Amino acid sequence: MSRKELIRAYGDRQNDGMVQMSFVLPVAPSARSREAAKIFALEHGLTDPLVATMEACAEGYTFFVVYGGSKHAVDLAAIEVPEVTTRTLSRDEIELIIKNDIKRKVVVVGACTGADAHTVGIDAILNYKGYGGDKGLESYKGFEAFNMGAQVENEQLAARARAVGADAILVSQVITQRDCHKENGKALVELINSQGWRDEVLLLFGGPRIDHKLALDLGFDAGFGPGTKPSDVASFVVEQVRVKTK
Amino acid sequence: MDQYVSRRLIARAGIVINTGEDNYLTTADAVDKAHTVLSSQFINEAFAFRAGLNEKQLGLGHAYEIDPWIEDSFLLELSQAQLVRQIFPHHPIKWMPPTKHKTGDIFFAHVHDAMFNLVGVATNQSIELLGMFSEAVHNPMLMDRYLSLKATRYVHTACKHLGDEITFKPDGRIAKRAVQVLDEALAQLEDVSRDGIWDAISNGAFADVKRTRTGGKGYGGVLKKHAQYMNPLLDALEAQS
Repeated sequence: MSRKELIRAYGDRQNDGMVQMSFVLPVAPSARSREAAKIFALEHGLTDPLVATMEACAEGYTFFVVYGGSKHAVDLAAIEVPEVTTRTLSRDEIELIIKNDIKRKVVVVGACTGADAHTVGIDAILNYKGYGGDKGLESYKGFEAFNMGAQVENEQLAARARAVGADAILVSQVITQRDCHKENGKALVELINSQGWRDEVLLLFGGPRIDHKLALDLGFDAGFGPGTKPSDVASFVVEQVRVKTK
Repeated sequence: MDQYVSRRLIARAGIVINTGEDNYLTTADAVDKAHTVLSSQFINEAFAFRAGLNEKQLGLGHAYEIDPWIEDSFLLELSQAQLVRQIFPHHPIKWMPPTKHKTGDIFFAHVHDAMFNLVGVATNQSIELLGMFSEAVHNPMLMDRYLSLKATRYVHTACKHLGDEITFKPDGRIAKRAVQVLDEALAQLEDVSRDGIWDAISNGAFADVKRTRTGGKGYGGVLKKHAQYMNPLLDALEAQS
């Protein structure tokens, strides 16, 4: 068995476990509410919780900030996370690869599938505006990006992707109730498999609760979690399409 | 029913409209393309006046969308906000918070919003929208709203009369930047006047977004007016003014 590599949150000293948490409880501020906040923090594994602030934020609701030492430790050595290993390229590098190596527009179709109506993720990646100052795929000369929006059925998405000859399909899932994101994702992979063109297209899965490992487990080629920038996705897609083109 | 008819209805109803020029800056660079917001404000004002609206109904839009990490970004924002305030002194101008450069770092975003609030109060903006530090994370939760309102109340209370106390150095960076943006807006309006607004839009003059005359999402809903087009509602609205 390999050596454990335990780490804890760092506040002021090694292994003090210090974290801050803030939350609202649906009660008016009082000595009892303060105690409730403290117990709430204790239940979360914080030792010696300090209720740093208690303020009424609406009638019958109180905002708390609590500091405390988390007793939890994480064994780094036991974690195995496959990561998307493509280096993130600059906009110019991406455009150059498309122009010189791929020599045609890279076609990408994206949607929030199933009942999910939250387009914030797919919009951030595909639409011109982008995210965190990083412009979306629509803004690249070399990309042809189709954003089908929310509540798109897998059949529609697959049909559209096929009709426009998509190099990649981007599926965004924000809602995760009863694991509906996994089911929606898996259903698309199965649909495309059954239609017999899985090899022709890259399948990308993204959302706040999604990581690369989960995406691979569901049969996608890559998964992108929170904080992903359009250029991360663009880099992955052009590298993969370049390999396929050769 | 077209936008002219909508504006006629709005003029009659006496309500305030909020125009969306600020949205340009979410796609185009907020420093290089600042003048496009101003020129569009002039165009929207002209459309509104032609439909019988008055200046007190015009919530012309602009926004705090410059990359916060570039040197003097705050000065550039202050300059633009003051410029718009002075050019449209009686309009209820709409001042939009940062969105483009927000990330999941809510603590930084809270400071970013405070700077936006400072410019808003220092330049007496009319309709100021509340910045949200969790903008890039999720729809605002109760604690997000509470903290944003609290911080905004602080800045607006602490700096209430700051705007009355400030004069700008005529040859300083802020005034020079304002003159530059105004000059660029004028040049752009002259181009638009020469080429016509359709060609200007299809050349990407606004927001770096190109929409051709026969393209765009709403094209299917555009119909040519028949020679015998009649709209009794419009006739009545026009007769009143």
